[in-house]
Amino acid sequence: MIFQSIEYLLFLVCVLALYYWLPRRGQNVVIIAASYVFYGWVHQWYLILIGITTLFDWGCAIGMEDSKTQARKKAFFYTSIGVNLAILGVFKYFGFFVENVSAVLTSMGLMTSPWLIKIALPAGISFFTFQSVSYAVDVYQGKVKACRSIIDYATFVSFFPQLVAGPIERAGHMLPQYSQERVIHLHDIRSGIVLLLWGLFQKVVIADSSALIADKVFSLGDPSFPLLWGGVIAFGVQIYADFSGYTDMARGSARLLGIELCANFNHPYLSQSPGEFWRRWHMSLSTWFRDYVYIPLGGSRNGEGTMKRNLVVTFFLSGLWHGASWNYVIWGFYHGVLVAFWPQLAKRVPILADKGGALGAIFRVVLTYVLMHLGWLMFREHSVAMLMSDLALNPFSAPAAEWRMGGALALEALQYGLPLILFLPLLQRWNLLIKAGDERLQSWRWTLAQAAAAAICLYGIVSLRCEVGSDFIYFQF
Amino acid sequence: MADDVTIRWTVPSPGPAIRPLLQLTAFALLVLGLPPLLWSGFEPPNEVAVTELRTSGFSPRSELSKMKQQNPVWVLIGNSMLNTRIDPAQLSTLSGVPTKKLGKGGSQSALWFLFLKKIIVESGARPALVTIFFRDTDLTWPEIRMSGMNEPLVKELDGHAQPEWKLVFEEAKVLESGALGWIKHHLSPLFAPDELNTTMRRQIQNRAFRATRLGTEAAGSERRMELNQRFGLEHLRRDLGSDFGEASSSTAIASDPGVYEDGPMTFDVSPEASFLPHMLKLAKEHGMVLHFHRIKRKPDADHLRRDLPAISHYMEALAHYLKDQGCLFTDETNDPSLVLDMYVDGDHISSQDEIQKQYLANFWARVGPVVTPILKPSANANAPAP
Repeated sequence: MIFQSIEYLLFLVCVLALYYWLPRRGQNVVIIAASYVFYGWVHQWYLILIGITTLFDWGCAIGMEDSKTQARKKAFFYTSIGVNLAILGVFKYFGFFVENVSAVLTSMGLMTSPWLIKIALPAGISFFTFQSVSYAVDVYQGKVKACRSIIDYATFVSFFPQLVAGPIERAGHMLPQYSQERVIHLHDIRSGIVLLLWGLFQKVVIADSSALIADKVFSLGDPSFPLLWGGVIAFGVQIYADFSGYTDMARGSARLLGIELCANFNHPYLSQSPGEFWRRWHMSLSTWFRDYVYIPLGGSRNGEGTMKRNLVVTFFLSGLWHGASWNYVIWGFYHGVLVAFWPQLAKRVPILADKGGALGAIFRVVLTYVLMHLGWLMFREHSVAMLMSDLALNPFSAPAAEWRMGGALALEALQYGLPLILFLPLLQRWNLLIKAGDERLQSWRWTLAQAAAAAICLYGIVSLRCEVGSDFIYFQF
Repeated sequence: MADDVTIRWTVPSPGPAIRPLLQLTAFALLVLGLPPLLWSGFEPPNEVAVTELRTSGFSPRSELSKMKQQNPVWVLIGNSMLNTRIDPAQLSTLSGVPTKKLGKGGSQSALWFLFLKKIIVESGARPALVTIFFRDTDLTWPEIRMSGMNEPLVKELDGHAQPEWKLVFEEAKVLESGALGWIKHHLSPLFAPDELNTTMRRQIQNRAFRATRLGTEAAGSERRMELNQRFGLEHLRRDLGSDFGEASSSTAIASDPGVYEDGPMTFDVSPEASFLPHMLKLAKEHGMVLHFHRIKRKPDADHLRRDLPAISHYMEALAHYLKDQGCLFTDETNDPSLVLDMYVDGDHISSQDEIQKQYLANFWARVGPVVTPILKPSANANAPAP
């Protein structure tokens, strides 16, 4: 089931009606049942996968905690990690591996026809397996206690608002919420609705409209430099609004259920360096890789050289997490190199460090924006041969008409993206007030402000919606 | 027993308990009430109603009375594609029979059905032949342009009360997707007119065109067409597969509401799917022959108009079906004499006298031999056997 459908609206209303009526134990059962309906809406067979993962990790975590010996604890730990990675490996990477091995053998003349193995990728598999892996690691390291209630743990794994595309939550943040009595303020319902509508606006207006432009450009066999970059800028708007829209709809839905999910974005395109970008973009994944890959690899503890290596390896794996395709590998490697070597470069070029006042900051924001969009070109272009040809395009050989067209496409996408800048500060201020439990949220002034924001979103959705819809980009990961 | 307390609805400590509920109610009323208020006064701008200008003064009542008076032998139905192509007086001279045109800019198959039923049939006139001008998948795409500026005309023609209308627009939705379709259908009046969406999105695109000086020299629609041509099939990648190419091309063109390959590509003649079978039934009941004429849309620079493969399949199925039903079908799409220079403003034909004459002569050369046996059966019967 997808968020931007009337099916989801009706589904959510039914779930909320039942949820508000039941006691806490029953509420978690409602969430699990709703999550399984949500996830199994198209492919019921995937429910077996998530069910097995849930039971296995729940049992292994209890096994770890109850183990009398370290060896036994380790055995449970590695079994849990192994099963999760095996599921991910089979469903996500096996086809890629076979395809490449087969291509190599064919090119060496050892095979006459390449193997064709296609395994359907269950939606959101990368998200729920990563969440399960983090749980196993946290229990093993003693950071969280093993969840004894299968109901609470199944709620943690399958919670429908964030099941398919995150945010990737931690057990330490979520399990206490699932095991406690829900407290839902009426102003939480208001802000949940605002978040839902804002997320929907981002998806059906900003992301889908930009997708129309980006898809057009990336379907061209003979793009010119300006047309290509018009498409890349459109894709930059699309992917941000698409993912941020999903996250906001997930957070809004969760808030209506009395559950608070973590934020995933913080003005990433205002970053002044690649490293800062990754602290503001898909934050739940970035912190996951930091905590479960980068730090265990040694982080910055063993000198600058090792730190650089660890960064490149971490980003390489992050690229691979996004998809079993060479362009994601290249994209991950590119970001690894950028983040690892930026500080060194900044030492030699002072304006890249925190210098130059406001103008210096603007320069760094623009430079980072361009570098990130070069990354988006690698991310969006799945054919490596086409990517190489795109990178070799000469800006000076394009005719004026192509510049005008490319400029018009970029400007159209940027106009759709404008509310991302205009609206976010307001939402962030609300989030701060919500976190602080500020009493002002209960005032009439805030009620009217929230109503106005929601009405503007609704008006925007109806009057600017894109007729050609598309799936959320991160569903494929 | 803490578990028995489901939701602890919190209230602000100093205020009365009723305030949060009042606030939530006010919030809901504002959110749901404000947007419809904002779009209630919306009027489509002139840009959207360009085709209207070509047929200003179209009144069903007046057309009904003219139909009674003129009692034409040949009636042509269509939208601006017909209006920019055919002068009924000149066609009457060529065909030798009284000819009348029911051309309403921006109209589509649902309205054409109403013209047939509520103007031609109701007038009592019994033309021998009714020709319907259409583009691509118009005939089986009843939803297109069925809101906004066409709604007053639908009401005037009592469209919503027609059983065929209910079948296609209401029961079909229920048949298609069960209760959900029914709910969607009944929620639709709450939404803003499609023209508001079209206008606002077009304004955004125009602003981008103006800022990049893409739209200063020629009309916006011409610039859009230029952009669409840059994304034409011949420029698309071959490594993405035919489905992707088609979908991409379709979405590219869909950005321009003047062209619409994003309609249904599967030819479906079930009674709840479109008005086509209802038109055929009506014509049979009242002794009229239907003739469907597909116009050639604006060609590429080489004067050729290339169909998407799905459209080609669709057209084959349509032609086969119409032949089986005893209808006439002509298609000018592959006519090389209809060259790019004859077109202005999308698929419309230039109003210059010379081009109009050229088009009409071409049209009659193609259509005349097909329709004359219907228009003049006696002349045909007296003609020597080939």
